[in-house]
Amino acid sequence: MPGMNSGLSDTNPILVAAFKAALLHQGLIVLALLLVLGLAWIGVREWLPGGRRAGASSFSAATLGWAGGSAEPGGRRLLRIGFGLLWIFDGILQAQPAMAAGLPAQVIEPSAASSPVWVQHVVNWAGTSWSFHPIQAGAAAVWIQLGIGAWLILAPPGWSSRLAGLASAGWGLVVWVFGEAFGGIFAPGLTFLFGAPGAAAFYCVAGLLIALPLRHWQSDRLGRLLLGGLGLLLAGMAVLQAWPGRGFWQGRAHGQPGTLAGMVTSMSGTPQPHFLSTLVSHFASLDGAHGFAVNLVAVIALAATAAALLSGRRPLLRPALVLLLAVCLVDWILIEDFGFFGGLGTDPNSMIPVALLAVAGYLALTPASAPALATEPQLVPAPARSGAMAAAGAFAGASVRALLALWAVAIVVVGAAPMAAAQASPDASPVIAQAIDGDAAPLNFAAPSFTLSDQRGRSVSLASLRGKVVLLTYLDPVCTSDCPLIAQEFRAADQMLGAQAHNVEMVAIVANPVYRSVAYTRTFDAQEGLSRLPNWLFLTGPLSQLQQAWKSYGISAETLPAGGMIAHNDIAFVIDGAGHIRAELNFDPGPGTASTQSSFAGELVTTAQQAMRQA
Amino acid sequence: MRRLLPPVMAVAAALFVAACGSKPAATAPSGAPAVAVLAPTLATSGSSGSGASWAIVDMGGAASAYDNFWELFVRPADSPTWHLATPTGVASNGGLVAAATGATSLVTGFRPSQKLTFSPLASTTDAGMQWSQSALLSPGLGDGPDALAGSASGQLIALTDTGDVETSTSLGANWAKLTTQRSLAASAAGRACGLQALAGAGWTPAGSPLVAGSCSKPGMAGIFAYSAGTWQLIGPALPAALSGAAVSVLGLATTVSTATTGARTTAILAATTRAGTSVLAAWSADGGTDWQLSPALAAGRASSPSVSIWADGSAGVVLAPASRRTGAMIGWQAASWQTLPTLPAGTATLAIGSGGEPQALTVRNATMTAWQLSAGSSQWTLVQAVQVTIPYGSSG
Repeated sequence: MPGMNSGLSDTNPILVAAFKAALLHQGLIVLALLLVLGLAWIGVREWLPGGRRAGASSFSAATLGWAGGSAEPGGRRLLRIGFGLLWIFDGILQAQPAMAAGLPAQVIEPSAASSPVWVQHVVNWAGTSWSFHPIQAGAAAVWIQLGIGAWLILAPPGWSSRLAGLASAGWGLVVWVFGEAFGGIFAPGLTFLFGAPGAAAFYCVAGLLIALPLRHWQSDRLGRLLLGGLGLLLAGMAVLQAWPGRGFWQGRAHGQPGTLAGMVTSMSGTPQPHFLSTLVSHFASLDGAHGFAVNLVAVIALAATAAALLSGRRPLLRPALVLLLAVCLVDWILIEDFGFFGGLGTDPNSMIPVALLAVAGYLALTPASAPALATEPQLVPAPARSGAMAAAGAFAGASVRALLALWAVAIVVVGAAPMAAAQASPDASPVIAQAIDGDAAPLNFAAPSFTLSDQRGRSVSLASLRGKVVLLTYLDPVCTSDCPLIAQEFRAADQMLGAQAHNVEMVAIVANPVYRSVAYTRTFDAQEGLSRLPNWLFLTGPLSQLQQAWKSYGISAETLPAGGMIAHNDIAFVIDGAGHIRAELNFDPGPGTASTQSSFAGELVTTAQQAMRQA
Repeated sequence: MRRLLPPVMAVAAALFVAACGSKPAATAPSGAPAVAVLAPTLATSGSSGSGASWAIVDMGGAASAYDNFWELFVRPADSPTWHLATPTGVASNGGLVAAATGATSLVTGFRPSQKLTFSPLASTTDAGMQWSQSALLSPGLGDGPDALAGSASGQLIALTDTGDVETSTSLGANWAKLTTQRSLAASAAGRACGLQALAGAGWTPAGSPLVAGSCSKPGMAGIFAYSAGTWQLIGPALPAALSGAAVSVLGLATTVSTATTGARTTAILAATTRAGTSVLAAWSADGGTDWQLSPALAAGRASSPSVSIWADGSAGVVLAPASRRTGAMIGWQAASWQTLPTLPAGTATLAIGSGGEPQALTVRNATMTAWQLSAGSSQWTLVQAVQVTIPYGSSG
């Protein structure tokens, strides 16, 4: 009913249930894959002559694949395990019930709200793509991140581990561009304290470092470069933090909280444990009262750390690192408010990644010795065979760790494949329409007759449409909200039907007792681009005939006083070629986004095709 | 030198990012007046030669999107009280515009709102008791109280939100395009004033179309009359003191001839300089050849004024209605503006009572209250409060 939009809540029970079901199904597939891989590995090792010898005779450390772990440079290992755990944590966060429906509208698009238009276009494209297939997209984000995290942790040093780093960098880039709107670097109010230049940017850097050949970790050059790069970033962020006119020096301005105090106050309102919100709001009060001093401390801390890191002097690096870690910890708790509360938190924000990169850089200043690196475990080369036998030999010789890494890659594929398949269709998932209005009610009884005039003044009766499927709805030609959306859903359904549209009549009956002339139906058609749709009929007539057509289909059209729109049912009927009503669809169009329109159109098409088959 | 490079790069990068995140300062287009022209609110009132009055105000408040509703109130000629007369059947969130045609007929048009792109029309001949709703205007009405105007002979002229000027001889059942903003701006008359935007339309006493707009050339009042196939710039000449001002036409109406007064065109002008805004009234009985200009009313930094022009050619304005409310009225041939006592809180527009006395119509959420200023009094007296059942949530 116009004015009664149900909207599409991120806690919509149908969407949440579908999301959980998708995660459960894919989780079972993931476990099955582990079982299959394990059984195949054992089977091949037993079956293949020398299969056991190709690997090891038992579950020794070498077979498990962790024997050579000590050869990996400490900095790299920290990045690999640290960011692996972060990805896993992020994946778990992505499994929160509100994510599937809530991420595009409440996380992705708001992140770009203050960015330039071109950034908004890029981000909104991603948000729209997600919203067309929220279940598949939500589940894909879970499994891709869990898979990358597991891959990073489990992959044995070598090409598999480097590939995991590249995957981490690639996915991090996707998240940084589409999920974080380039970390907000093109938006005003950029500040390191709130996560600039975006947590995912640090995931990208870490991934690229992991992807480097191990020889780059054999000198202190990588560590110096990493710490220098961090110093450069912090210097820039210190300048931005100190820049006048950006609101960070004022705790309050014009009676309102200053930039930082406002941000922190907003974070403290996020659903979270009470003691945390109290702590964060106390800090917001402190900043509100002493904004200049707080910003001065922040600027000095950032500048001093930057100067020390850029100097490259060893005696300064350790205290700089300690200072940076302290800043990160305080910022993470008091300003970023841990970043992952509220039901739609996607990651613990930027301070943990920054700290990991800084410590990794410091550790890389003391490189691993070349001989130690030489002992890193490699896949045991299979005896010279060809084709399938060679592959089977390599598989049999793989360590448990390599096998688990392969499983991690499979987890990524399990998440990505359904999303890729869904994206191949331009139509939105039907679950969106079901989430708004529930399922169609299947019926089978004779449709009440009507005789009215179409937008060209020709008389049209239901009997005259016999032989075709009739998609019937009731529209107010001067409606400002729902009816134009429903008309667009009918138009989209007509396009989706393609050649089958010849067997379908799209029929709307005027649902306004006041504005009901043919002039109005024609103008409505022009407004909605329906004038040239050959199978579109917008019917009207004398009030008595309209009232009969409303009553027989259970439609009410109530005139509201004082400038209110006509209140009428948003409903659609599917009538088969024999004149029987086959389905009744609750047709409140919800928020009327591109995805909801596409989903409702798809629902119309599906029920129309069913009616064609039934007739 | 190499050690200096990283910090320099960091500062440069920070500057770049700061620049990326900054919004450029707004600049006025070259040739345009240095100050913005004023645009009136849709809240207004009018009266007919028979003594009936009508008023349009915005009600409901802004509790959520589309919970404001524009309402029409009518006071019949023989009644001291107002009643709600908003035509039913269409949402009024986008705005309501009314125009008197002939002596007793009133036509209303709903401005487009949300996904509605055209304007449903409704007409009444019995003070809003019954409405006829068969006409419409597509594209929709422009954003101004003078976007729709009626003539004594029953013709309508409308300004659309796409800048078209359309006329109708059938109470809106059929429309014919008279001109467009682009073609009027390209005409000799349009070029003479540097026409920038159209604000409203009307009729001369003789029934020739009038169009009002804003000129880029300072000191010029953009009022155009259509006669013998050409447009003439007929706006009144402003005093020399206002020759550098940006001039807006806040109101334009031609009143019908009555037993006591002849038909004449009334225009309310705002002349804005850096020092502030002055409001002037101008009257012409001969289609704009000769104008009588009122003294200037100092309006300070007025914004979104409410302007009303009544049947006898008198006019009232409410200045800065959102903050300190100042009201003033001026009668035909009056020597000066009559500044009214401080208006009651929430005054949306001024109107005329049954005895010709000024009324202030205030709005607070769902209540419209009429206050009257009796002759010789300096106090507004409450005369009526109308409670309206606002259809909250019906347009969401």
